Amino acid sequence: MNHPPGTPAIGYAIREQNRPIMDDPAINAAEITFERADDPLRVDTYIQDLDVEHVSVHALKLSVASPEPPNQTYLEALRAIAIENGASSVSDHLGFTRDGDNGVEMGHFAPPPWTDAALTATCRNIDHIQKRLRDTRFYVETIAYLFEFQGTMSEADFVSKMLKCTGCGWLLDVTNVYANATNFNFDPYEFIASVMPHAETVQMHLAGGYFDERSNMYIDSHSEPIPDAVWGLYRFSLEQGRGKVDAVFVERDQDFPDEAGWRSEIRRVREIAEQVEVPA
Amino acid sequence: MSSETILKDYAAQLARIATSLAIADNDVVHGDVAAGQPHDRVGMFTEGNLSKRADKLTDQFEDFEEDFDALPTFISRYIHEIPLAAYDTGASDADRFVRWLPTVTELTPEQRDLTLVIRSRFAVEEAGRRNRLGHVRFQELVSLNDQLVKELTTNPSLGIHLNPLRTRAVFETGLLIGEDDYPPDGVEVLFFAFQNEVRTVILEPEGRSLVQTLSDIGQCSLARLKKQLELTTSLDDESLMEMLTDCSEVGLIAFS
Repeated sequence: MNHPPGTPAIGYAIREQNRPIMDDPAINAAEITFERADDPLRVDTYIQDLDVEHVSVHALKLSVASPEPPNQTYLEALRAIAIENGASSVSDHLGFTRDGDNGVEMGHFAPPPWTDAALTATCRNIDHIQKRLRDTRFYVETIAYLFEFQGTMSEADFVSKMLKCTGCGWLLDVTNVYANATNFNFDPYEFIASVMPHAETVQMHLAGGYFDERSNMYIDSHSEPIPDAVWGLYRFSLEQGRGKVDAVFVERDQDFPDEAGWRSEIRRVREIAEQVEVPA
Repeated sequence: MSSETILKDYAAQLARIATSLAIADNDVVHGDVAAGQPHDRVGMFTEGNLSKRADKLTDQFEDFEEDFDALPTFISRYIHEIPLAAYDTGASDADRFVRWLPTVTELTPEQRDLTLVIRSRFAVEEAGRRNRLGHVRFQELVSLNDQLVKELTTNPSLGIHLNPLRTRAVFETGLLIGEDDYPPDGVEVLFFAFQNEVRTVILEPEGRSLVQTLSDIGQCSLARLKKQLELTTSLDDESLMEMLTDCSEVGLIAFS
C-alpha cells in the first residue's frame, strides 16, 4: 500500500503475538529486538518473509553510558542481525546496564547521572558504536526510570548535548517521557520541545502502562493500550519533529490485545502521523 | 581535574553502583540518588531485575522442578550472591548457576544429570555462536537428507558430514532416558543442534565409533568412511547403512 510521502514508517516491535497482523495496510515498518533475534541456532532470519520498508534492530545491552564502549563481539553480533534482517537502523537506551566490559550486569538499564563525566563517556561510546555500525543509523532512546542519580544538568540538557555532539538519532519513547513527567513532575511537552531541535533524525516508541497506587508512579509496563495523554503527546512530537521522523514503533509485551485491538491501535498511529505530515 | 581523572572517577562510581545493584545491595547507592527522590525506588528497581533473573533461571528448569525441591531457595541465594556477568544471557546465567550449585550443596545423581542437560544444551548453543556458518550450511544439507539417503547403497562417493554442533554427556541415572536399567558406567547421550533446537540421541557402541570416526577424519566419502570403520569396528555393511540412515533421520549426519 502507498503511504503519503513524508509520513514516517509505522509498525510494531515484532512479537509472536502480533506476527499475524503484520501485513496490515497501516504497517510498513517493523522493529526487531536484538536479544530475541540473536538465537545462536537460528537458521532463518527473524524477520522471516515479512515485507516492510523499514526495519530497525532494538538492542538492550550496548550500555551507552558505561565507562567503557561495548565489546566487539556484541557489536559484531548486532551488525550481523541488522544485515541479515535488512535493517537500516539500530537503537539502544540512554543508560547503563553494567559497569565495565568484564564487570557485572544489573539486568536492566539505569539512567546515567546527568553529569559532564557521564556525557563525555556516553558521547565517546556512541561515536565508537556509530563507527562500528558504519552505514546503519544509530538511535538512542530516552528511558523511563524509577529514580535519578545526582547530577549537574537536566536530562533535557544532557540529551540535547549528546545529540549535538554525536549526531546520532533520537529514539523518542513518548510513553517514557510521559512516565518520567508524571513521576518526576515536569512538563513533557516542554521536554520534547527543548530536545527536538537538536535531533537530526527521530524515531518514536509508543506503549501503554498503568499508574501504580502503591508506589504512586506510572509504570511503563507495555501491558496496556496507549493512554489518551500519550496520544496527545505523540501528535505534539510529530509536529515538533515534522520532516525528520523516520519511523514510529508500538511496543507491547504483556496482556496482548486481540486481532482487532492490534489493528485499530496501529491504524490510529498512522492516522495521526498522516494528519500531521499531510495537513488537509 | 583532567578529563582522564573525571572519567576514572566516573568508572569507579559506576562500578560501585552496578556491583551493588546487581545483587540488590541497595543501601550502597542511596548516597548517589538525587536529592528528594525516595530510596525505596532503588529497591523497586533491583527487585524487578532480580525477579526477572530468577524467572529466567526457573524457566531453564521447566519440567525438572519436582526433582529439585530446594530450587527456588538456591536460585534466590545465587542471584543475591553472584551478580550477572556483563553480556550474560538467560542461558549463560543458567550454565553458571548449575556450575555454582555443587559448590554449595551436594546434588543427587539425578540432579547432577539435570544440571548436565542444562550445561550440554548451553554447550551446543555456544558452539552455534562460534560456528554459525557451519551450522547454517549443515542444516541446509540436512534438508536434502530425504533425497540423498537413497544414494547410500549406490554411490560410494556420497559425502558424509557430521553435525558440527554437538556435545556428549554421560548420564549417571535413568531419570532422563526413562529406563530403570542403566549401565553402571552411565549412559552416553549426544546433544546436537537440529534447526534451532537441541536434540538428544543415545548412542550404542557402534554409533559412538561412527561419530568418533567422523569427528576424527572430518567430512569424507562413504567409501572412505567404510574403510576407516573397518579398521576399528566389525560393523557389517547392512548395519552401517542402517545406522547412517537413522543418524540422517534425526539430523546428526548429512550427505552431499
